[in-house]
Amino acid sequence: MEEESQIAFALAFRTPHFPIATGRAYHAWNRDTQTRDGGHSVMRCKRVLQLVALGYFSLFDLLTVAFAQTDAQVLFESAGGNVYQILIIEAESGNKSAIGSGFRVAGSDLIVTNFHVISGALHKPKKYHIETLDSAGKRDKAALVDFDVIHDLAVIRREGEAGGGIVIAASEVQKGESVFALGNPFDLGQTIVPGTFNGLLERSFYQKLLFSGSLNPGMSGGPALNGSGELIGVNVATSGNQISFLVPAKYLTALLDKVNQSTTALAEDQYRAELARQLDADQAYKFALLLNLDWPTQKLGEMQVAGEVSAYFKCWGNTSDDEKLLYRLTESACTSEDTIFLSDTLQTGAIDYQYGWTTSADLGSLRFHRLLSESYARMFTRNPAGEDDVTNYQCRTQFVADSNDPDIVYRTVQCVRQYKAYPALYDVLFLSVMLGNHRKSLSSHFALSGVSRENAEAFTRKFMSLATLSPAPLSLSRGES
Amino acid sequence: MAFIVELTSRSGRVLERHRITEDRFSVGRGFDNRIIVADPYVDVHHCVVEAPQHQVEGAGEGETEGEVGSEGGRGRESSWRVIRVPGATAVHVNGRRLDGADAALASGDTVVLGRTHLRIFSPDHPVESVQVFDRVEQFFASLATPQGIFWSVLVFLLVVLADLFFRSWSELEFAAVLQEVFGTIGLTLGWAAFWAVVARISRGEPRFFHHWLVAAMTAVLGIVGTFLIDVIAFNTASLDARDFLSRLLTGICLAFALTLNLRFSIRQGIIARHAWAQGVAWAIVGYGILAWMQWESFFAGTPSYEGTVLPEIWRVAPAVSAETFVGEGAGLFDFPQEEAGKEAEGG
Repeated sequence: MEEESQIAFALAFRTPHFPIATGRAYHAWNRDTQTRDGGHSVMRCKRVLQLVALGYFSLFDLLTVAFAQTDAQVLFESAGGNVYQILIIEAESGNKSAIGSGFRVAGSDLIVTNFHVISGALHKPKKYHIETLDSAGKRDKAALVDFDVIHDLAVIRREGEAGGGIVIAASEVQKGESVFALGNPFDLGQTIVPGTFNGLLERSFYQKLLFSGSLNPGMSGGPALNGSGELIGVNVATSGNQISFLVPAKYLTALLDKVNQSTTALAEDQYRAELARQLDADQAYKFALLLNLDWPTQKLGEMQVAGEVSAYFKCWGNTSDDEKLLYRLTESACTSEDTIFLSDTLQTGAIDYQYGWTTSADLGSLRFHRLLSESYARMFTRNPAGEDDVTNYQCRTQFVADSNDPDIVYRTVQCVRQYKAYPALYDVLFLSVMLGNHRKSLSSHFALSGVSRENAEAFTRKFMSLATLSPAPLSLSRGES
Repeated sequence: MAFIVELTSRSGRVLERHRITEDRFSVGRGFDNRIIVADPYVDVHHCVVEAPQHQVEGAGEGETEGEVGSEGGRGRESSWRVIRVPGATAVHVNGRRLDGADAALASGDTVVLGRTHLRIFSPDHPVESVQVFDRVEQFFASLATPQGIFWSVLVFLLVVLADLFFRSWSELEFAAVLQEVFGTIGLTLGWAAFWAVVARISRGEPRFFHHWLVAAMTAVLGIVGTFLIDVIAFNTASLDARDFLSRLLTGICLAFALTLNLRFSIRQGIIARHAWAQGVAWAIVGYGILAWMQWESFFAGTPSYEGTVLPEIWRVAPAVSAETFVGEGAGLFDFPQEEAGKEAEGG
C-alpha cells in the first residue's frame, strides 16, 4: 500500500521513467506544451511528425493519445478547482509531516481523502492537525468528520465553502473506459493522470477498482473521474508499473450518508471507539464468511492440506532443490491480499497459512527433528506492530493427537498478542509439526491479525481438523530406515 | 637424623616451620614439648614422632634417603613412627584415624591433632616447584600432562564435531568442518589468552593450559546443557521454559568459567575461596539483570519457537485432543488489564 511517509524515500530514489510507448507520448507532449506558447495545431503536427519519425508507435496509438489529451484538458479545467492537497502539519515545527490529496464533494463543504493520509492526525490530535491547500494556493485548517478505516476513506470539513464539487457517478463504469486520476504526486503540484479502468478486483475481501495508470505517492485520496467528470473512485494504492487501485465510489456514498445522518462530527475521544467498532465488524464479517465455507484440500506430500480456501487467498508453492541438502522441503503458502492500514506501524487484517512437507532419506532422527525445529523458528505475522501497538506474545505448546488417527502426534504451538488500543482484537499464531517419523513430516502454520478471540478459536478448530487429514495411513514405525 | 615440621592451616598455608635435629620430638600444648601448639583441642602431651630406633647409622645415608618417602620401603621397623601418648585424644595420619598406639610415617605425611595440621619432612625431601593443595588445582594440574592434554583436546574436538554434525542438513564439507573446529578452538584460545594475561598482571601464574581447559569445558557444558534443555522444553507446555533454562545455563557456564579463571588467576589460598563466591555472585547478579531487562522492557516482535521439536521417543508429556488444546488455550487471551489502559490514556 502506498503511504505518504514513504515520499521522502521515494523522492530520494526517483529516476527518470521510460515506460511503455503511450507513456512516452505523454511525456514528450507535456514537455512541449510547457516550453512553447500558443500555436497548438502547428505544434501538434510537429510533434506527430517527430514521433512518427522516431518510430515510437502506430497511428492508432497516436489518435488515442490525442483524444485522451483533449479529455484530460477539459476535465482538469473543470474538476481541478475541487481537488486539494491535504497536509498533515506537525504542531511544533509547523511543517508538513505527510501529504496526500483530497477533493470536495458536490453540494457540501466536505472533503474526501484516504484514511491513511490523515491517520497521524487521528491518532495524535495534539501533535498533528490537518490543513488543505486549494488550487489557488490558499491554505485552511480542516477538521476530521468521519472515516471508514476498512476501505481507507476519511471525510474532513473545510469551513465556509459550498457549491461546486465533484459529483459521484450514478452509473457503473465499464471495463476499458478511460479514467482520469487527479492528485498531487510527490508534492510536485496538481496533475491529471489518464488511464484505463480494468474492472473490480475479484480476489479481495474489499472491492477495489483496478486502474491501469500511474498513481504515485501524494496522489492518495485524489478523485478518479470518468470521461464526464463524475467520480468513480478514490485513489488509494499502487503496485507500480501502472497497476493502481481505487476505492469504489459506493463506499464513499455509504460513508457520506452516514455523515449526513448524524448531526455532529465525531469527537476526538470517540475516534478510538469508532475504529474499534469498524475493525471488529470487519473481522466478524470476514471470519463468518471463511468459517462457513467448505475448505477445499489439496495434496502436499502424503497429506491433504487446505488449498485456496476462498478466492480471497492466493497460494504459492516451492520445493528446495539444492542437491547438497539431505532433505527436501515442499512448501505451500497462502495469503490474503487484504490488509487494513491503521497507522505506520499497525497494519492488520492479514490472514496467512502455510504448510511444509519435509522428507529425508539420509538424516538421522535427531538431526531430522532438529531441522524441523529450525524451520519451526521462523514464523511471524505480516503486522509490523511495535511495542506501542501490541503486547508481547503469550505462547504455549502441547502435544496434540490427530483427530482421525490418535497414533499421529503433533507438537503444537499457539501464540497470542493483544492490541493495546483495541483490547478485543488479537494477533494469533499457530504452528504444528508432525512427530513420529524421521523420514517425513508435515508442519502447518497460520497467522491471523486483528481477530477476536471467538473467531481465532473457531479458525484454530477448523484448521486443526483439516491439516490432520491423511488420505492413506502413514507408516510410522520408528525403526524404519 | 633430623625432621622439618610445618604447622599449616587447613587449606595448606604454612604458619610455622621448625627444624629438629633430635631423633625424636613430642607435640602438645605443654611447654615441655619440643613443638608447642596453642590449640585448645590438643592435649598437654599429645604425640611423639621418632626416627627408627634400631637403624644402623653406618649403613650409609643413601639407603636412608631411599627409604624416605617410599612407604614401608624396607619394612616397618625401619620407618618413622608417630606414637599417640596414652590418654590423648585422636591422631589422624593422612586423613586416617590412628587405631592403635602408633603408626608408620613417611616424609611429607600430614598429621592432624585436634585442629592442628602438621606436615613432617625429612630435610632432603624433594621440593615441588609448585605446592598444590587445592583439589580443583590438583585436578587441572593432573590434566596438564602430555596425556591429559591429548585426551582433553580429543574429547573437546569430538563434542564440537558431534554438535556440528547434529546441526547440519547438507553434506558436510571439509572447509566447513575446519571453519567450525578452528572457530571454536580460536574462541577458547582467545579466552585462555585473556585470562593468562589477566593472571600475569595480577602477579599470579599464567597457567595458559588451565585456562584453555576451562574454556573448552565451558563450551562442552554449553553444548551438552543445550541438548538437555531441549529435552526438558520439549516436554513442557510453556515456550518460556526454554528461554528461562537457556538463560540459566548461560549463567551457570559463565559462573563456571569465571570462577575457575579467577581461581587460577589469583594464587590459591584464602583469596581463591573469595573468588569462587565472587564469581557466583557476579553470575547471579548478571543473570538477574539480563533476565529483568528481557522480561520487563524488551519487546519481542516474534515469539521464539527454537528447539521445541525432538523425536517422539523423547516425549513424556501426554497428547491431548484438538478440542482440549483449543479449550486450554483460552488463558492465552487474558492479558494484564493495566497495559491496555495505560496505552489508552497515552493515546
